Formats: sequence, structure tokens, C-alpha cells
Amino acid sequence: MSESQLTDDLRAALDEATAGMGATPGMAVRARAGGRRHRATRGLLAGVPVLALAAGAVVALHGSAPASGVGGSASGQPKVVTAAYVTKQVETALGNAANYIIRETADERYHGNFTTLIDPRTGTFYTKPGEGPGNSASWSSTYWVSGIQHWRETNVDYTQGTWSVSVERAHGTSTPPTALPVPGGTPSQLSQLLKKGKLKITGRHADVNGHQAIELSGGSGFETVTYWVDSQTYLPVRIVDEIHALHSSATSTSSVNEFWSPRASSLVKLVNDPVIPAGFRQVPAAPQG
Amino acid sequence: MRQERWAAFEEFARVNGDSLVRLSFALCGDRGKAEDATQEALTGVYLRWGRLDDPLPYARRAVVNATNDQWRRLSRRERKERTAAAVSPESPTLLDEVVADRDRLVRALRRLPYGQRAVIVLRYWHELSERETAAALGNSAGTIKSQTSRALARLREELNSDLQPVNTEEYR
Repeated sequence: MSESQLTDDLRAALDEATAGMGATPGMAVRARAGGRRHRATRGLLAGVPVLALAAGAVVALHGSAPASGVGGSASGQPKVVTAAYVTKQVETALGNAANYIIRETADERYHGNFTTLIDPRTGTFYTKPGEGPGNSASWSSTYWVSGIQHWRETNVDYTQGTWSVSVERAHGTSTPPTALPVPGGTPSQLSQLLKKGKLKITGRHADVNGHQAIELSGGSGFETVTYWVDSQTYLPVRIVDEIHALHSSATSTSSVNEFWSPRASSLVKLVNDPVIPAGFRQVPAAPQG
Repeated sequence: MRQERWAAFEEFARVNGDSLVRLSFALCGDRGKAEDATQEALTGVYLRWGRLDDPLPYARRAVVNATNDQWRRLSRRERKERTAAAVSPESPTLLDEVVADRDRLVRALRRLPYGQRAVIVLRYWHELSERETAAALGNSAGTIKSQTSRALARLREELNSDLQPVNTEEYR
């Protein structure tokens, strides 16, 4: 059989095997719902390819870090810690996500600004008024019913004086995550990325929003993700995502600043409880794609 | 602005969703997994919408990666069962000889290592160039060229040994 005949047959065979198959209704809507949540809670590091990370690599924390706490040094001299140590500290820090409410502010070149508050304990996130489409606010949550993942979104449109609720459900069953998702992945996912060298501890540091921060980075032909963690608390302070153009040297950058605040009842309520102003009219949610 | 962005993404998903599901199915042979992988890939595209110079190569790459992840998530037992089903003599017999040959071809394709399978599907079914295939798989065009050659040779071997016992461990 010639190569052209083989490939012709292959095309016909695959056409036949996939005949009548296609995207399921609502895939775009679920992508949007999931994407907004991923933006806040996970996925920015997904698919980052392997980069070499030498076992026992060291990270030097330079400069004027405070004298107390992990990563600082009384003399102001660089303190050297191992990559394994940083990995463990990051994992531990993210493992305590349930004790925080996370505020993210983004300054995206193409997407404009937004601020989102996330409750890692419930997986709910809240987008502030005026920063959703038009002058609106939204509360989005994820939950499982009989093994099927559901997404619920409540939108309040202050311009129209309306509000709506939409509920989407996955087609197949899945298992709820056992670990709380945090920006960049679950603690164990992030730890695995570090251990496998998919995320490289570069040894660079910088002042990020007043934090002495350590840089972690991973990349591919398409994308480079840089993850800054506080050198004292090892909590994330900034995630920078660069998309590289396929046919040019252009790069598009988004930068999300992370602010982790101890859980306070007012913050928990703000994130989890939709507030419908008196007199607002309920309208149907936008049709599914 | 955001509504325009959403409309553009929705149109992208409408136009390309079918093709992405079929791509995933060609790679894994499981419709449910293909839909899940495509959903995961579209979510990734949505996250980066407006910042990709051309979203389709990114979407293809995301589907290839997500499909591979879906396959890896299966237990060893599930993988064996699926591989066995793919080569079982009890698979439905197709009367039409041509159709039977095509069925053999698909089964042979699914016994290739994942990377070779992806190269074949993208190059000859999606008819991507070496450069486009390289972008979808995160390799260089040179690597794709040699991978394609090896994958075709392996496909021929698999076709010739279609009725022979298969080492299911090789099907990852």
C-alpha cells in the first residue's frame, strides 16, 4: 500500500469513526463558567512543559529582607535555601488556603481590570460591581449533585435593575477535588510541578507589592507562567502569564496580583451571599451556547 | 467590550467545537473522554481569549494534552480493557470489506504510542503542515518530520500484525 493510499484510507477511516460526533450543547457557556473559575482558582499552570530543575538547586534570597522569619537573615546577607525546602514551604502555605479569603486584581493588557474575591473553602468567587459585563456583579459557585458537577452563577445588573441565576451541569460524573484549589493549582499539584521540574525556581527575587518574593517559572512555545511567592509566608503574591504569538515575536502578558486575607465574617459573607437590591427584577439567564 | 469578546469566543467554540471533539476521539476512542478533554481545552482557550494571535493552534494543543491526561487518568485495568476491546476478534464484524479495512486501520492507529498517534492524526487527518503540527504538539518541525516517518512505519507494522496478540502494556 502506497503512503498516499494509506493516508487516504486513514482519512476515510477517521471520518467514518467520528461521523455524527461533535461538541455538546452549552460547551462554550461551560467553558466561560469554568474559565472564570479557573482564572481565579486553578489552571494557569496547566500544561506547562517540563523544564530541567537540578536536584538540590539552591535559591538565594538577597537584599534587605526582614531579619525575622523564613528566608530572611539577620545580617542582610543572602540566605540560601534548597529548592526542596521552598517546594515544601509553598506546599504547606497553600495547604492552609482554607484559612483565607483571596483577592485577585488583574491588569490585563487586553481584558481590562477586574477584582475577584475567592473563598477557597467553598470555591465561590465574587466579581465586584462595575467590573463584570456592564455595571454588574456576579457570584459563581461549584457543587456536585450525585457525582455531577454543577456551576451556579448569580448576576446582578445595576444598569438594567435586573438579576438572574443560571445553573450549568457537566455531562459526565466526576469526583469533587479532595484538596482546595488555590491560584495556580491545588497545593499538591503545584508541589508536583515543582518536584517534576515543570516549574523552575529561578533564584531571582523582587519586591512585589511590598513583599520580598521568590520567582518560580515554567514555559513552553506558547506560554510562560511566572509565579511569585512571598519569601516569608510562601503565599502567592503575583502570577504573570505570557502568551507568545505563533508566527511572530509578539507576547501578550497578563498579571494577577494576589492578596490573601485571614477569613473575616464580613469577607466570607461578601463572597458567598449574593445581594439582590430591593426592587430589582429577575430575568432569565442568558441562553446557553 | 467583554460581551464582544464573549461573542467571539462563542463563535470560535461553535465553529471549531465539533472538530476538536473529533480530534480527541480519534486519539482516545472514548466519546465521553473526548468531550471532557474538549471542554477542558475550551476552558483554557477562554482563559486566554484575546491574547492568542490564533486560538486554533492553541486549542488543538490543549485538546491533545487534555486527551493524553484523560487517558493517563484511567486505571491500568481500564486501559487494558479498552485496548483489549480495540483488538478483540469479537468486535462487531463488518460485512463490507472496505469498511472492515478502515476499522482495522483505526484499531491499528490506536495501538500506536500517543505521540505517534497524535502526529498521524494531525498531519494526515487534520491535514496540518509540519509547522502547524509542531505548534500543536509543542515540538520542532524537524522532530515532527522524523516522528511522522516513524509513526507511518509503525502504523504499517501494526496493520500487518493486526490479528496477532498485542502487548497491551505498550498502549499508554
